[in-house]
Amino acid sequence: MSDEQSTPTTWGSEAKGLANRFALGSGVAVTFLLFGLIVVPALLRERRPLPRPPSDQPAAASVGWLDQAETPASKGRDLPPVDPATVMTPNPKLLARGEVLFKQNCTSCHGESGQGNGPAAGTLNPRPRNFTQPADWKRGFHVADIFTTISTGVKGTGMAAFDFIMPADRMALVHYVRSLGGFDHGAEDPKALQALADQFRSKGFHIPNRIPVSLAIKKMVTEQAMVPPLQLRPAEDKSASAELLRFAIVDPFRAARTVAATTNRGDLSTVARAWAAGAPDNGFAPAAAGLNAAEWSEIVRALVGRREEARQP
Amino acid sequence: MSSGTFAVLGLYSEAEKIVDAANQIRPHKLGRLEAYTPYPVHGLDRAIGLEPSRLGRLVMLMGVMGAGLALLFEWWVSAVDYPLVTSGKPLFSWQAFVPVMFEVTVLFATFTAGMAMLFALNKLPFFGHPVLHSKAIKDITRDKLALSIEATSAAFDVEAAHQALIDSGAESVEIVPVPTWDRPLSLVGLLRTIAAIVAACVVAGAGLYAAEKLMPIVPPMIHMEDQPKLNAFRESSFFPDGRGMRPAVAGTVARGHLPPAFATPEEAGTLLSNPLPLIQAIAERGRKVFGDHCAICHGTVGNGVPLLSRAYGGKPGNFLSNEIRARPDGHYFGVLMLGKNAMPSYAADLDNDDRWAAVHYIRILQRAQNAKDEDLP
Repeated sequence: MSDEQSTPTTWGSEAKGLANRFALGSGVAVTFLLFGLIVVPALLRERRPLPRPPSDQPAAASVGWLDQAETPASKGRDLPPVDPATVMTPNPKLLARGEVLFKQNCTSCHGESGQGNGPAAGTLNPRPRNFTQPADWKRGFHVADIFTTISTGVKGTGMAAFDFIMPADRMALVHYVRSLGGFDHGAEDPKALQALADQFRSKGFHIPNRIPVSLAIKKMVTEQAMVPPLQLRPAEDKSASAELLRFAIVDPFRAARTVAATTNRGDLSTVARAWAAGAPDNGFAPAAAGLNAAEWSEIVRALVGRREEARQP
Repeated sequence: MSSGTFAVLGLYSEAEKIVDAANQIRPHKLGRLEAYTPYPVHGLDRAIGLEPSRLGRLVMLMGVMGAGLALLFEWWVSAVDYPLVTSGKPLFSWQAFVPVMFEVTVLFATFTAGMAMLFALNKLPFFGHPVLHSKAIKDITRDKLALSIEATSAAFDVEAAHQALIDSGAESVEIVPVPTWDRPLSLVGLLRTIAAIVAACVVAGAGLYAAEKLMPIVPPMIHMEDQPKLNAFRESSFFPDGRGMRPAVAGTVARGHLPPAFATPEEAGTLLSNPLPLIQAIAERGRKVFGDHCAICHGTVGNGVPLLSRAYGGKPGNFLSNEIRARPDGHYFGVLMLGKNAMPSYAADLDNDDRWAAVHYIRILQRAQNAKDEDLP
């Protein structure tokens, strides 16, 4: 107690000291928290290296063997011709095969039971065929008709050509589709059947060569013919045709590709329309669409003529 | 005994007397002079030797610092860290920084004024001032004026202070001891304070909740809600077509969105050609676009065997079929712009170069799945 009495500190100064220490401590703590939780992590994040841009070479290696696009190259082969006797008339094995293929390829539009009411049917105009009734079949419902439809599609509708399915499988589909409709399909045209049988006998199915996509990129990039950019005349050239070209062309590189790709498409107006339709991505100015026929012919003549000149030497 | 004394108090009953007494005692420098009066007394501050407050200078200093810091910060943000040209003005446009500088100046100045006044100058918090426990406090808070000589060092002379106060005409003199307790901030006290704050919050919250639930709420200004105007997406009886929104003038085109010059993919196929050269970078861009947007339905190799087939039962186009391979580049571009069958339009999701790069990549996939004999390694 004597010690305490000899110290000059009063009660008030002790409270003040406590308060001061508390204020200082909390200030320091807040500062540390601010820097520790916000500023320092943000700075570290800033300094993290940016993700590497995708490079061409290791793409195949990095995605590994799971990538379908990088499966090893395989040589194509020809499957032997189909014996018509095995596919021209329905049998249980063929119908079972047809059902599997139908579920994979057809039900999205034609529906599970072929009533033309699949999930995607609502988006199609005209609507997909209803296989369960005899009305409105575009090509008819005989064996050869359905085979043609599956093989080539129906132009102007959502029906695509399923030419990638092997002919025997297409026949399985034909029989399965016919089995969905309970109506009388009528007599077959023997001539059409004979032609179909001949077609099967004469030609097998070709399975093409396959190569990894990275290799295809390499091949196609190497084969790519570089089109030199259009040489616009210098700004000093104030002639009408030079001014016209400068007005109509915004990107000489792209315009050169466009000219190379489209000049053989027909007459002047078609070419001019094509050039205006692709603007400005194809190197031409959108405003060029407003040029008149004479001006377009001037441009086409100047560009095509120059290509001819370039071809001469 | 001196260290046990907080102050010596002398009581006076008239304002003039305490001022005179203070003027008389101050030159002796016995201790810090302090006065407790029930009302303000003119001249007493000078008499007890109170200097003009430093608060003004502090506020000025911090205000200028706030302005400077704000200017520095705004310069760093808009001219160094993230340079952004606004309306063609220079990066360092100090005129635009003035409002924020003003705000920060006020912020720093007001906080300095409040905090410095409370903590630095008035030395708060000060729990239980010893004078509050003196006998004189009743008189001080009624009609008496007290002059106190506070001990500032161990050499404080209680007797001299006592005598000086009596000499100056104090009616009574009291020695105020230092309080005996040594832990003014006890844990119990803190907990009680916190509990009291929590209880106050709960009571206030419950009261507000009850008031809001039980009493009718009268909107203060009904005229703000009642605005006779046309809402763009509401119906309206003002125009004959019953719509608030006016249709755009015929032929209007959104800025940066040239409408396609074709109506069908077939037409696009006859008009357009791919303007991008097939170089490595374009192929990689096409691979990315195809992977991001197309592969989920058309399959990784474009064979129309979708990754999502089980989920949505679709049969997307097979890019490897002879029919689709025979189509021109423009046809693919047209389908991307307009959609086809169940496929939606991708006009809004991709830009034109992305589309053309994807067309290149589809051609690459077709080549990979239908390679020439000399391509085989």
